Amino acid sequence: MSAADGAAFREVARELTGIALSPEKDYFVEGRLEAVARARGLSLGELAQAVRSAPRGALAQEVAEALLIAETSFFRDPGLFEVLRLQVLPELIAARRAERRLALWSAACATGQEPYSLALLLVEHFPELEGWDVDILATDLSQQALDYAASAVYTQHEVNRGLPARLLVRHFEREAMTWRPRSAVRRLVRFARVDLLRPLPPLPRMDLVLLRNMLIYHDVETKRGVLASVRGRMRSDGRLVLGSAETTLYLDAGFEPSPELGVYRVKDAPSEAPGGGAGGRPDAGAEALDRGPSAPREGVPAVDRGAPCI
Amino acid sequence: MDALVIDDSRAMRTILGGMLTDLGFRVVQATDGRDALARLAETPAARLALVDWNMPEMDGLAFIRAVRADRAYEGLKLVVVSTETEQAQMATALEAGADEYVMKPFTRAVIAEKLGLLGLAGPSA
Repeated sequence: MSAADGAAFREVARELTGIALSPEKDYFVEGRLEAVARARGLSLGELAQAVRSAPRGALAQEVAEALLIAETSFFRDPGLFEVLRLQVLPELIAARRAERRLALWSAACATGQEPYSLALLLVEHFPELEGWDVDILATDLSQQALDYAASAVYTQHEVNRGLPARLLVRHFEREAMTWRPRSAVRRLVRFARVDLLRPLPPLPRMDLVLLRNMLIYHDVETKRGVLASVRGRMRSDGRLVLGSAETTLYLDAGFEPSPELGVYRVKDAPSEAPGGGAGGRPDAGAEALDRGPSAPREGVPAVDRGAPCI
Repeated sequence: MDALVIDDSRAMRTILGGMLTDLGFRVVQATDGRDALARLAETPAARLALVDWNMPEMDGLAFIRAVRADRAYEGLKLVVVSTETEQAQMATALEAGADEYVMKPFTRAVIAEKLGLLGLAGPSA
């Protein structure tokens, strides 16, 4: 791939998704886009020419989507999931015992392995949550990734990666050569397209937010905006989990590091209606963020809840 | 750290052995379960065995049961690497004492991630 073609793809990514890829990431761009070009019968150079001539066209959108879908796997970074299981979730569950509600957010969920891993963790290790109102919101900018995640159909290769075999046996159904989490897992997760770089839509106040390997692609100002925006949707004792190469330090003083690596505690959450998203625009619908009824929704698919917030 | 690769296919032993060597293991190869028990007796400090299911003489399931019946090998992690992908068979292997299960075909990342789950990220990792 030529330097000029790399620049064209980076520009499309920046324009359509806000991701600032450096030229050093051209290997990543090339790897992602080869399949897109091949599917269209184009070379990478021809693909670059096509997006230059129509930078907001369907093909440019497809290019941007391909660059958005991060590599992911079930229980990616198993040490982190052990921290969630042994430390973070027990603390949050103890703190919510009276209200019996838990709101988790996988904020850059890609193809869904992260939110389903959270659901598997809860189903497998926290039987005391039976009857609680547990909600895992999974969002991403890429509609293509969300469609894949919501279908919950995974290849053998995907379930081979990182997923403990015991969980595969207990909590998945095999359909020909694909695998699908059982309904007890799927019903805990609901999906919505959310652009973290824009004012956020109404959301429940979150107890735990996973925002891993998203900030790393953005510049400092954008990181600050996203962190402030996400913090505005969190409970005052909520926890934020970032990727291993990410931090809130020097970006958002409203978070403080936990003893557990990669986990941050809110120390300064807005007590009332939070402000807008990364762009800072006030969100008039902010009061609707918290879910109204707290009754358990056993057996009710999340998508059918019909609540005013997503 | 010592590891056994147990498979009747020489090609598969070479592939898996290469992956484990890259991860820093010293690899001992065995062609079936019976051969593996003999090799294991010579390598008592082995921490890991990658075990095929379908093999002559003694298959992977019989090997797992034999190992789990011997307290001398309590610390040995057993990972089945098999073309068998039925859930019932996976469950049988796990109940017999396998710690993990990899379906063939697999990639280097799959093996590395499974070892990570077992706390065996590899001596060089």
